[in-house]
Amino acid sequence: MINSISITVFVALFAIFVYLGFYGSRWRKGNLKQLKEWGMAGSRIGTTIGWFLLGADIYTAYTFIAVPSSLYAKGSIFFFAAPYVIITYAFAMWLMPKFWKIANNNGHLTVADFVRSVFNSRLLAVSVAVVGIVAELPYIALQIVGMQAVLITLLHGVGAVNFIIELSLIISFIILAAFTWTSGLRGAALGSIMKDVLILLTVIIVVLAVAVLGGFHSALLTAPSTISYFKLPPSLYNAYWSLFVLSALALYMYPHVVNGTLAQSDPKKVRKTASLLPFYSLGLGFLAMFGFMIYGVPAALKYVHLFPASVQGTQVVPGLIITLLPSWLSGAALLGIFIGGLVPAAIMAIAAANLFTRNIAKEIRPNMTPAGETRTAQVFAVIFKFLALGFVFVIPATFAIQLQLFGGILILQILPSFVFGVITKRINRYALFLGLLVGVFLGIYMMVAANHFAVWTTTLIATGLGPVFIGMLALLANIAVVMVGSLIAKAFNATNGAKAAAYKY
Amino acid sequence: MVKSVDIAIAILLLIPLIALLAIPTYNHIHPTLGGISFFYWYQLLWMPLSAILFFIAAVLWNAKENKEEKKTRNRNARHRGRRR
Repeated sequence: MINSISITVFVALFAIFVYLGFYGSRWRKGNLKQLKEWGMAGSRIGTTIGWFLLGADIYTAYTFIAVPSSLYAKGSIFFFAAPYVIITYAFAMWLMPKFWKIANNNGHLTVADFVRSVFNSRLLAVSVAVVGIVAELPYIALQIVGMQAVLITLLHGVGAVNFIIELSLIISFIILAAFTWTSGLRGAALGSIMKDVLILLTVIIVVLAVAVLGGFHSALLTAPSTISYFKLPPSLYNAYWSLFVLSALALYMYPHVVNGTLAQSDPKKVRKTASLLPFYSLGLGFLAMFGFMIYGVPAALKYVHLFPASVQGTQVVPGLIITLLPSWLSGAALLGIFIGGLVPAAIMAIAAANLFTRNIAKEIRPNMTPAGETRTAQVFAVIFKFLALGFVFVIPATFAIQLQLFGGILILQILPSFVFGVITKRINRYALFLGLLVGVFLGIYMMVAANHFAVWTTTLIATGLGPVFIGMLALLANIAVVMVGSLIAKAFNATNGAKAAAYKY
Repeated sequence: MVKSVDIAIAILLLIPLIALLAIPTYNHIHPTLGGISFFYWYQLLWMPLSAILFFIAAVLWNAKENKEEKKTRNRNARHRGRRR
């Protein structure tokens, strides 16, 4: 229930969180005027904080709001998020320790740094940086939608629904911008511990409450049969596996995830941490099931129906919280979800800004001072958040998961440069560039076509084998171009130059 | 050269992938567990199971790398010794 007690708890905990953010800027003190300090916490992050920082990549508004929302709106297909957050760690255990060592030996801080050296190509490095930044934007937008959803819950009843929806969006954005500017990655890391504790507690309590009330049984009986909630329609098998396999491949391509991995202190710890994270994913699995669980809790169902379809799904988890938990606990849980959007959004904006400063701005102005670098990154972190806001208006909040999936379609296109770069030098740089271009444009084109040039509500496209994830088709086209291009280059004895040949892993 | 430990690591990492790719084998409502359909609890169950398999793989893998690193260090030390 929402009343003055829940709002007081929410505000008090938020004050503690803000204090942590500011304290974070002084914690294990470094010179915040240096980009590496503001943006990577000076690479002094150990296992415990590293765990929370990487856990934060999963426990975002994606998990709290977007997945349950889409499961509620479209059914079991969106449980693909569960296998995704298992398989991605197997991939990470293979790729990331290798990359950590290469990056450490050669002083790389970003994938673009690495690509520039291993393929001796500034063109490819800048393209990889641009795609990395643009792919973060819809993912940041998803976090803003999550923060907005919580404020809608807190403020509903204060005024007209549409006014509350818009007001919530504006407040969320201002808080996000102010928080990122002041605290940097350090503050975000401390904040993510608080967030994870609040959220895991919430998940356990809500699941127990629903179980005790017998909500699972009644959900199975009362959910509408028009949407396939309890098993997958066979026509969606290919959609299901393409979504989870490609999402798994995409996660560790994101600049903020690479950043979080490199900020850890040892590659073997990176592998061990990744190996245990599937256990942590249980929380995501249960949260996803809130999407149908709500049919077992009539009061929560009544609550979400207060809202228009475009935001209804985002109220599933908050709705269950406020109907099942006492008001003080609802306040705490809602704060967990709120900072669950805020912290990851800050981490993503910081990573995008780092990438911009290091791999784009410095290419244009190589003589920037360290203080100038940090200022550039801070300013662009805000600019990128404004651009991200644009995506909020392209996709209805209930389908916010499509923001992350669209980011995935884009970020997957740097996979050939990253992964082939780690395992072989025999790939041609122009082939990689051409493949990336083909992948990005094909991905965007299929996205527009699959949505019939209207608002984006799907990232699946119809094929002869049923609907499949666009990201997979775009990546396959990309890889095909890379392979054929490299074979042609080899036939003409074209190389990546002496610098690439001399590069040592 | 592919060693048996490499094969063991690969198998440990691939078991969950295969179990989750075999969608028709788990796409059922029954048997339910506490009211949750099989489709869901089967995949949830794979989270802790995968963590266990992955953790064993990580331990094997890190031990293997430690051994290789020790070998390279020893070889380098011998080379330096000879040069002196």
